[in-house]
Amino acid sequence: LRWPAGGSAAMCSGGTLSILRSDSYADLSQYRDQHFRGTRYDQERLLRKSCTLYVGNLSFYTTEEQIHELFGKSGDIKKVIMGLDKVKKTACGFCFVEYYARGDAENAMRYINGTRLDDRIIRTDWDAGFKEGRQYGRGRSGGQVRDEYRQDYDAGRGGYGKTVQCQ
Amino acid sequence: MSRRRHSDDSDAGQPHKRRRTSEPSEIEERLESLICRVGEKSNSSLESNLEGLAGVLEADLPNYKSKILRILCTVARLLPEKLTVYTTLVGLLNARNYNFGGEFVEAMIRQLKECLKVNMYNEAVHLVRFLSDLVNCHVIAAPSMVAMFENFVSVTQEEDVPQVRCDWYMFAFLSSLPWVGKELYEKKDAEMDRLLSQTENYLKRRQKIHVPMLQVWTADKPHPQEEYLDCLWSQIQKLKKDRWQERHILRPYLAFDSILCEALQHNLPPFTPPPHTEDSVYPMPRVIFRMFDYTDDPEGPVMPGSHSVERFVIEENLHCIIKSHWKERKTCAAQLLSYPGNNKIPLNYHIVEVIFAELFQLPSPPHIEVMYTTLLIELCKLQPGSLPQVLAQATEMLYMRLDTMNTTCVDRFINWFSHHLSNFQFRWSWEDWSDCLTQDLEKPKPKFVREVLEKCMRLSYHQRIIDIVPASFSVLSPANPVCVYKYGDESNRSLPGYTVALCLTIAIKNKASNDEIFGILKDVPNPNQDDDDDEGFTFNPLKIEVFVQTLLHLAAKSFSHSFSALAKFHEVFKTLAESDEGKLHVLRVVYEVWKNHPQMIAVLVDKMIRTQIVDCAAVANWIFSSELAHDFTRFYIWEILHSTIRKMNKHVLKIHKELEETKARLARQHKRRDSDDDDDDDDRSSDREDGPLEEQIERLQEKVESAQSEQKNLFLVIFQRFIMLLTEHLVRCETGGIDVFTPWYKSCIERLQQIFLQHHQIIQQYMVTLENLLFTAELDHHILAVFQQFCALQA
Repeated sequence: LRWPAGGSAAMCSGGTLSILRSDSYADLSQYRDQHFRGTRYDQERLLRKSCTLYVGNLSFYTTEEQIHELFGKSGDIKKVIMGLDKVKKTACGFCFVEYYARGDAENAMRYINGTRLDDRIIRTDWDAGFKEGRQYGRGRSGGQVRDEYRQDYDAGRGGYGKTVQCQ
Repeated sequence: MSRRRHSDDSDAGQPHKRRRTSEPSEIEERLESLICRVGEKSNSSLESNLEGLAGVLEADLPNYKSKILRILCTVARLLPEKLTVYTTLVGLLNARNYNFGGEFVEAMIRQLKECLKVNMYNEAVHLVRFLSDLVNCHVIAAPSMVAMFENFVSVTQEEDVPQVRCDWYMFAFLSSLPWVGKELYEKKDAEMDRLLSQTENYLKRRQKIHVPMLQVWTADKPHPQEEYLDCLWSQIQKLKKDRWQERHILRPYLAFDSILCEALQHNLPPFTPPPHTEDSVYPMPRVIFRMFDYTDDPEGPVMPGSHSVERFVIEENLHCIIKSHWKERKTCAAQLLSYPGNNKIPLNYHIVEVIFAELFQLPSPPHIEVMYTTLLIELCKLQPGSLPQVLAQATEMLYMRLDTMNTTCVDRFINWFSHHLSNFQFRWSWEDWSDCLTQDLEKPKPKFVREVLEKCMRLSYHQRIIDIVPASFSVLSPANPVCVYKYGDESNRSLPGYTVALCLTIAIKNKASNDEIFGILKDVPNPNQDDDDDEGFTFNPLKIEVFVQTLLHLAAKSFSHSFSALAKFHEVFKTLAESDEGKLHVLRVVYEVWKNHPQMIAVLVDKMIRTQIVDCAAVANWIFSSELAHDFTRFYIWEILHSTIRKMNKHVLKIHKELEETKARLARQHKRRDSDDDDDDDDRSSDREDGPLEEQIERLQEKVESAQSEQKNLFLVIFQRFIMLLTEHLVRCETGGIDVFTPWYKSCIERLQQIFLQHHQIIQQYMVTLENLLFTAELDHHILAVFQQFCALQA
């Protein structure tokens, strides 16, 4: 198999430069899943080779189809798993996107993270891998924790936060 | 027992790290950082920073010479946008330490030779340019540089070498002249004149059959799409006419002239271009993309003309910046916007032009398409008062020229524009484009708007699109993506299979197994056969129809529902679609059910290939089938086909990799054994150890061959169908006396080109077969031309 000319930055004698190695968008964030079963070391090892992204700040109305269209721009998607309210079993504003290849997930982190879907800036982060049960919100009311306590009004995420609603 | 990383411990095990302040790797990091950062925004002037850095490095030479050499060689290769900053630095070092200058030049030559050996031609050009600018810094003697260029140009006299080889050496020579032309001409005008005249002769005689395939527009107005060497030659000729006066390039070395001209120069060793080998792969030719000229920004600074050398330098540097920082979009945007010369050139226009040049580059953009969308958004964020307007102007211009835009480039325009709009609430002055409403829907402009609206819908929802366009645009609005179930209505009672469909629906809702489904389907008559085959499941289109329609309808709610359905009833699918006709019919039914939802069709086809319900050849045949003729020019069809080809390619690569890995394991096993028991003569046990691995290798070898054969067959099927379709059209036009160039024809012939371009590496393997079997001399010259243009790309 022959490859076209052009070359990669890391070459035989010279190597590369650390400023050109910088890939901050694809690096691990500070977030670690507190419910993860295993050590921090295990979690980080999985995060570093994961092909799965957590996607947050979605509208409750954003569909799997929209997510597939947007995230498909960085590569072939293996699976989309919608995040659900544990009680209502309806979409509660997050999802997991799993790619076949890590490189495609990295490109999503570089170019889709921080852009808009359904007019909302969405956030992506590495995920250690989907396990049954992780598709449910962990907030007391069934949705995500962030929707329990927030004070603002967000039309795409059920209006006011749950505690505010209950007042 | 859990393994904890040291960083988890709160400071335990850290004290030793604090003591280490001068580890060699830390020094190297610091040196690298100092060198890389020079030239960035600073409180001091560039000159004083360079002088300071030269002093630091000179002091470090006794201990860190090789590290400094390595770093400088690397920045020469990888940071071409800062070329003159680093040549100045080397010049200052050479003035202080003649030996170091000599060693650096030697290291550069070694690096250049290595690059050429491993086909890293783009980086090699940067090295050549660096060497030539070193002439300006009094590091290299001008006559020896001219001698090197003489060797480069003489490559054009070589016989039996690909034109792309000669092209590269010519490009390396010409593209260095903006930097060093003046100096070389002053010292060696006769030699330079000879070189330039040899250049002219070469450029006149080289063939340019490949050019039409690489042009973004087929029209020459308003800006001709020039072949890259032709454009560069015009620029150099103009530079010569201007007596080599070049005013755009920042030349820090000018400020140090008094120091540098005292330095002793080195002679480049005679450089023989490494010979052409079978493994040599040279860069493909390019076409220069231009969309703006000085009339487009009447208020601002004047845009350098298309044949000015300034234009060349600006574009080169902007492309280099993107290449350096493509992973870091904010840095990339900031670096582009801080390109020097901001108030003398319309920088925003240059940036937008360079980005679109890459996005529309044929065969492929240098980077993933979505990067450009996000980069443009970052640029808009940094320059909210000016860049969005330039972008809107660019969009308008691209729309105006859709009639002659290459279909592949239109695809990318559609993807970019729809994704861009989705980040800005789909705000656009659609009424400005109402001219397209009066045109035939197959014409490029209305087609473009339709495809954009469809893509916008995929990123939002149907009603949103209806809301954002004026009512007059409803004819171009996408269909509501609903499923069409033929057995849905009571009024369809009389359709054959209706009752079975009802049965199936109830059974599936009651969680029937695959066997139960088979049982229900057994009773479906076969409209094709007179003598029914009770035992087997020969191709029965009605069975397929009833099953697939019903299942897809029940699973219509979402992609996940449909995927689950495919997985649950995989066995039924595999059996029904066992034959080639079965596979084709499954695809037909999927289309019938989901023709309003192309996105769903695409994901279902993808899933069916991955779960081996259909194969790639079936998808190819389905795309060219008469049932799909109506949708043949729609974007989604080609997305499906190219996705299919890519899956096939990835599959071959994957098995190939497995084979190589297993071979490597066997080799390691042998090595271990050889080193372990030198005196042990136990051949039989060695064979036994090898056995399973050798078997595995044999099996994988067969798998690879079978996959490669399937891959070749896929391309042959696609080419064959194209030839049939195009020939039919050409014959019809000829006999009817009508013009061949209908919108359909343009689209179809460019789709054929797209196959060649997008998969050129794989297709190169089949050249002999293609030439002898399909693209023979008897073929209509319109179709043959595409093949010949493709052949010319690596000739």
